[in-house]
Amino acid sequence: MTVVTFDALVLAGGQGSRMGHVSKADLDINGERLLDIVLRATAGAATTVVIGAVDVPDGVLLAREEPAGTGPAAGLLAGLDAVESPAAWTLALACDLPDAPSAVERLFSAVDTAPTNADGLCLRDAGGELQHLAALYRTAALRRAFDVWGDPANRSVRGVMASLALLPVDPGDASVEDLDTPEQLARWVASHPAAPANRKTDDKQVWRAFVEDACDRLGLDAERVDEHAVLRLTRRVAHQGARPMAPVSAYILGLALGSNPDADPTEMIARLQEAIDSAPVPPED
Amino acid sequence: MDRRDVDAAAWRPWIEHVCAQTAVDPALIDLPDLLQLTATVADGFTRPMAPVAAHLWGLARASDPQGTPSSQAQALAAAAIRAGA
Repeated sequence: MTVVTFDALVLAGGQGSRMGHVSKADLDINGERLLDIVLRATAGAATTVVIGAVDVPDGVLLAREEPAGTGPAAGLLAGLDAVESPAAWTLALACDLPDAPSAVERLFSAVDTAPTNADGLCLRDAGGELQHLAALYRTAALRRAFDVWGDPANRSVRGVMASLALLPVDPGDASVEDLDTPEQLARWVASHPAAPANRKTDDKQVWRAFVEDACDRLGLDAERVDEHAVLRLTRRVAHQGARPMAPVSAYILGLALGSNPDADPTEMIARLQEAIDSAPVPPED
Repeated sequence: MDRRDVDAAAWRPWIEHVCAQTAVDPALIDLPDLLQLTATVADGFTRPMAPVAAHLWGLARASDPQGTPSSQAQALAAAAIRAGA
């Protein structure tokens, strides 16, 4: 399994003329800002850049096309320029994709199937058209496309990307429909009611699937990982007033077991708990 | 409290103590990187799996000392995002 290191560029510039000139990034979908939904799809990126004049969470960079208002292709280039140490891949997303988290998952699932000479992967919409702002590009190829093209101001993203060999990716159950009109927004919200909080992600089987997937990616044996024992340990740490050290204790347990593959996990946990019980907790201030 | 705002200096004695008792090299513990990973997992997937991701990172680092820690963290983040999508 290839580990994909990537930066993410999210285009949130421009106003939705057919939305009554509201900022599409700030549209509310079941209580969550549309931009924040799209940003969830970028989690794991080395650098995330939002191009536009919107509020972004800590750790996300903001960029603006030069001059302002010259369109998404110029915005993409501004975003690319804002990344200090470029990763191998660049995820490019429009900010008006309410199903971005699922759609992006499709892109990453397809990376391993991409031929080495492909310049990137691009989701297809329901009509079969490539959506260049729901795409994962090789950063070098994306840079080259802009070099070949010249000034991207007021040009289409499709035009700039025309020189690239992109692997079309079928979105499957995910949607790459963007939200251009109030009617589309209303339809999307009506057909995607807010899920009961974390019903899916609190499911023990979902947890196990995560552990197995993560172990696959790391070359670890998932059979040897007991997530419930880890949680018992971290709960105990938290109850002892060392809550910030809960993940640290879990990490230390991993280090200890990883470097002593023959150790009995139960004994190791007991030893760790003893250490934690006698560890100095800093005074609260 | 933002999980990324943990006072690393104040907790260093705690970390040193626990590492000494379990024969783990405390130099392997980079608190900001670890908290970054757990924040990504909590935000992108679900809070209970954040310490489990930390655990898996420790396992991976110790099992494969030649591996690149940042790539391992990246793989964990990617798994969490997929699970949370």
